[in-house]
Amino acid sequence: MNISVVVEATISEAPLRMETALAAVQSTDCGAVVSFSGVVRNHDGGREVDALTYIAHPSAPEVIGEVAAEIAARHDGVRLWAAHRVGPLAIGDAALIASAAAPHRGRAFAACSELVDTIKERVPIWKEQFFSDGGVEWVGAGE
Amino acid sequence: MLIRYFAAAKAAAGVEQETLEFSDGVALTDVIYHLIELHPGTEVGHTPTLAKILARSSFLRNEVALRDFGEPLGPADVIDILPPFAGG
Repeated sequence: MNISVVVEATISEAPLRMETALAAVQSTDCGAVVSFSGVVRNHDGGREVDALTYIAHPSAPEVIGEVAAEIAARHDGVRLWAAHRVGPLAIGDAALIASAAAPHRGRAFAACSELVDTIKERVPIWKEQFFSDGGVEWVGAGE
Repeated sequence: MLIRYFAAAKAAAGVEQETLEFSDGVALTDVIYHLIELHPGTEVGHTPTLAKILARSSFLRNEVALRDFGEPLGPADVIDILPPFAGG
C-alpha cells in the first residue's frame, strides 16, 4: 500500500495557475497526472454573463482540506492538489483547479473526478453572477 | 443569539447578521419561522425570498453542522445560514 498525500488544498484570492498544480503533484513514481480546471464562462441559462464573484464561508479552508484528505484516504498512492479561488473573477479565469497524480491513469482519473465533485458538493462557496442585461443572481439559491 | 446570513440569504434578509432574543432552549425550527416573519420580502430580480432560501439551506451552530432542528439552542449560540453551495 502506497501512502496518499494531499500536497495542497486551499482557498485562494490570488489567480490560480495549472502549472503550479502540475509541478506540485508530479513525482518520480507517478505515471499519470489528471487535472481539471473549472473556468468562468460567458453564459448561463441562455443569458450573457459579464463577471462572477465567489465568496467563501470562514470554514471553507478547513472543509476543502477535509475533502481532499477523504479522497486521498480512498485511493492508494495518489498525490492531490486543489484550490478554489474567491473574489471577483473575469471570463476565462480558473475558479477551481484540481490535480491528481498516481502510478497509473485509472486511479488518477478517479481521484481527480471525485475530488472535483466532492469540493462542489461540500465546500461552502457561493457564486454571484453578473449578467450583461444588468441582472445579478446567486447561483443555485432559488431552484 | 447571533444569526449570520451568507450569499443569497444575506441578499434576501438585507443584513449580514443580527442579534435576536429567543427564549432559552428554543429550537432551530422556531428560529427559522421567526426569521421568515422578520424578513418576508418579495422576490427582487433573481433573489428568492428568505423563506424559499431557508427551505434549501444548511445551518451551522457555532460553526458545526446543525442537523437536528429540534435541538435546544442558547442565547450565546451563533447560527450560520448557508444557502446551497455553488463552488467550482
